[in-house]
Amino acid sequence: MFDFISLSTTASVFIVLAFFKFLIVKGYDPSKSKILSLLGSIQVAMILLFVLALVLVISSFCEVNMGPQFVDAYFYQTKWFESFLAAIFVNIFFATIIKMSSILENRFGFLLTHSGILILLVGIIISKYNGIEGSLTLKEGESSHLLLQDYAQFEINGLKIDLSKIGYNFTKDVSYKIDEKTDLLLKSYKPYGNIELVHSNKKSSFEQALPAIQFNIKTSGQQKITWLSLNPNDIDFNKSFDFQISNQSIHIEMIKIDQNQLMDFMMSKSYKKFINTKAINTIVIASCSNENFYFSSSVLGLHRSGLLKEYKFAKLGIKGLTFFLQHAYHNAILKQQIETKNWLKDESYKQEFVSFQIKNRQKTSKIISMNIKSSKTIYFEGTKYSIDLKPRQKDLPFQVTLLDFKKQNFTNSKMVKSFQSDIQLKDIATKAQVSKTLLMHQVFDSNGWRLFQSAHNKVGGIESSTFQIVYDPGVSSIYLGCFILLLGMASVFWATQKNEGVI
Amino acid sequence: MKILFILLILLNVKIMANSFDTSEFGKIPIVYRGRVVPFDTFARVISKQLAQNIGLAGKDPVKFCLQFFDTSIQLKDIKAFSIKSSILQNRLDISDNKRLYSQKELFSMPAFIQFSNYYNQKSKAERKEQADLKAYSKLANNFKFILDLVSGKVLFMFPMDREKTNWLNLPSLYQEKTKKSIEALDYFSKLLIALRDKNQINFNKSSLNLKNFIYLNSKGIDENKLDLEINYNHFEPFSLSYFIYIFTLLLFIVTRNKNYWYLPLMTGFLGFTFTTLGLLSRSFILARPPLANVFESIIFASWICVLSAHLLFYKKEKQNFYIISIFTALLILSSKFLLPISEDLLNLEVVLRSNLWLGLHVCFVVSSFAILSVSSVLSHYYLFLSSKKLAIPDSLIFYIHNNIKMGVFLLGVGTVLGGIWANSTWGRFWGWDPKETWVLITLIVYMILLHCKRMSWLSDYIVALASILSFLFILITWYGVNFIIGTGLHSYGFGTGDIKLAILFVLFELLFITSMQRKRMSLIHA
Repeated sequence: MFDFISLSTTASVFIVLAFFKFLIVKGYDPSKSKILSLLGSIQVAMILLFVLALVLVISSFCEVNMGPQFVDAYFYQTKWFESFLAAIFVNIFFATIIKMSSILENRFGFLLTHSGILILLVGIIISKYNGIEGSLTLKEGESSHLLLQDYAQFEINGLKIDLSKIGYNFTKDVSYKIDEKTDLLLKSYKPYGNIELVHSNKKSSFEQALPAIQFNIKTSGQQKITWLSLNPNDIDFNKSFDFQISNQSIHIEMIKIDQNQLMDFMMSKSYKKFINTKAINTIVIASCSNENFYFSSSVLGLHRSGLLKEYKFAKLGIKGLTFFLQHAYHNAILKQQIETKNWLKDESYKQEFVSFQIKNRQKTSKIISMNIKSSKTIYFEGTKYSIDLKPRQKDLPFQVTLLDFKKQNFTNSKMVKSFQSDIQLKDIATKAQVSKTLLMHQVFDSNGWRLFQSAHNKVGGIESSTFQIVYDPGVSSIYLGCFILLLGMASVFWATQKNEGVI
Repeated sequence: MKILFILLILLNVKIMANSFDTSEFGKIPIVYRGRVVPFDTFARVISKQLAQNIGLAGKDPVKFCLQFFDTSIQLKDIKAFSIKSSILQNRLDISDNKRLYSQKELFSMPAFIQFSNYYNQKSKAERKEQADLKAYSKLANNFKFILDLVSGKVLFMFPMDREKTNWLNLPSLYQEKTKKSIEALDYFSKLLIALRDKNQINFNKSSLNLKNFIYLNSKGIDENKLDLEINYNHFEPFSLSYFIYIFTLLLFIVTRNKNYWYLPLMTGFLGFTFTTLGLLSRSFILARPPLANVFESIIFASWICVLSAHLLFYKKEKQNFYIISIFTALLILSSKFLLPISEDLLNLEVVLRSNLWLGLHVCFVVSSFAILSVSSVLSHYYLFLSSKKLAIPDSLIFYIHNNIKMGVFLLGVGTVLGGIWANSTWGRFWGWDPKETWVLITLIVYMILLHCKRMSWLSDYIVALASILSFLFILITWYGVNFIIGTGLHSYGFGTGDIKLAILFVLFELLFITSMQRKRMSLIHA
């Protein structure tokens, strides 16, 4: 509680207050200033507190329904919430100064309570801007010095953007320059949702409309829904697709053929004419100039072909393998859209997304949405862009090695009694080594970096342990602020009781 | 007092008068949910699960449980299953709902067979949704559980080695085939024979033998602790103090304004002593402060209410306030019967396993809840008096205000301690967890009230009214976050929330306030 930062925070708050006291003694009267009286008035304080309570009620219900990411993005980590706290700070600060100039009794308790809140608020700001929090997962025998933080980092061709620094809730487009010709515009952040694809059959002036289909391949217990598109600008949708289903690898490819080639395609038993793959199981879907889709397949040595009608499924039923055609468009432009409507029911809708736009001087542009913790390579106007959205990594000043992990259960029970990790810390600068056993509730402190045992996992017989690593310089100020606040509360409580003297 | 003692003795005599005494078996240790418990506790949990209401299983749960091992009775004839859900009762055409049914009885009903066929056709999701199917699946699980019990799968009561922590159950004991396992089997089979023949002497002897065998082959079981747990089970101190508090209220009505005004004070103290003993035994049995789940918080809050009553209102002229505090404790205790909470003695989650912090944090927070609820009930009294044109004691509003200040201070201390604990466990002081957010909201609401009172903006009447309304926020923090919102890190005792109860409470409060207000207005106009 009493370290350098907390003591200096407290000292500076009291010095500023003492300076005003000095001015007051010299004859300055802050209560004469109308602006100061207004800013520090109890009416304003009550309004602020009322609004704060209201905001917290709303945010609490949002948290239950939309998850902690949502409230972080739209409430607690926003600039307006911070300014709200600042407004409370200003109000309490001027209220304290005005109170110091009055000649009423009971100033001691008042001063203590309110300066406690001031110190607390300063501590919160110190923690917010200088604190580092993250986790580190190690398997037994592994070592690492990279801390994974909750905040995402956006990386495009070497340009790194820290999303936490812009504040997740960016309402205006944030613009960055990727190279001479191209700009990046961060459009929006969605704390929950999932990508759904929407098509448009209209031809837009910018984009070329070409055939696209959505199909669903099913066997018992497994299914895969994918889009195929012949449009080279549809970044996420390729013209061919390979996957494993029930231990069979299947190649699906889409081609465009002329009407006069159609008979060849339907009769063909050799697919080499149309495609370049040697996969055993192949399904070729041809978009014909007569606005129909045809399929020709060779699954497990069996050849079939036929017309693939719109909105009707074609069965390639071999050993329960079924191919459903879900959508077929001849002039489609596929667009990703982040849908949020199913977020309550469906676990897969609990993802965070960032939407951005790549734009060049010829005013061609592309809007892309990506979920956090993914990476993607796109081609835009002939240039390759690799985009990475991943948790921000931070170099720790020390390297952590997990030597051993132990877990103990209660007698005849799956309930965990305790778990512990034997770790070794190696300071990167001084090369000094320390060994330590971490238990739940036993924290390891190394120059202000604190390590906690937070979780454990077992994958394939190998135990891994997750540590929470925190560097929080403001917490001691928060402690001290709370302590002074509570002391002040007790003093106000005691003093008023004495004055009223009803007992 | 005398009447109470006589009642207690009578109860004991009734238990003694039973023909076959199984209490010796109740002392045998068994591992249940990772804890070594006396068989008495285990039997209680099981009879509660099967009969759904411990009263239906009879006075002696050990005896109820031992029926399943009695080879002279056929399993299908044992009356052990209750059908409590009224929807299921209608479906099965059962009119007598206060008894237990045997499997034979159930399966001889045509309606039951029909319904079980209907149940088997339904999918798992449907079984979870419909109330009658849900009730039936509980019953079906109990049928399955009986088989586990009879085959001894759940009877982890045979330790084999002092150095090993795992105890064996009956099937694995059969497979073990060592000298010790044969010895244990011998004791157990002799016990079953004695049970079948109703031979009291042999039964007690084999129970004692088995108990000694367990103590000999295991480490770290404290016999006194198990005895304490059995006494705690039989005594039911919290129900006892509940009835004593009711008795205190009745006594107050009788002795009011008479020379015996101190009698309710004494019975109140008796109830307080029982609660104290109950809390102490819980903490001794579990080796932790009795403050880890909703049930324990309810008991502790009622304890604090009565404690504050004895500290503040022991004088004659404050007897009304004393009774109001007892009444508050009674109200808090009665939520024990209304809410779906477990009274079982359970081990703690790993995260909470820090006795000092758990004790400090929860103690302060729950005390503040208790003290603020006393202030809320006192405010109801204020409103009631002011609507009846009765003289309002000067000290009433003082105590309302005083309790609010005290409660807010305790809530502040408890929250800060919780923050320090969270920082030392998870590495953050504050994380906007629903419980944390709601504590902050509650603190802000009370802060607004206290500031306005201090600025003399509010009349006494409004202070009392605001105190009642502010208490609704405490209700959300205490009950709502756990039972209605049901997420977050304060994950002790989440229940299937009953929002109806909360809405009913809020409606009652609003109705009370408006009716009092109307009466008061008509008084003023008159």
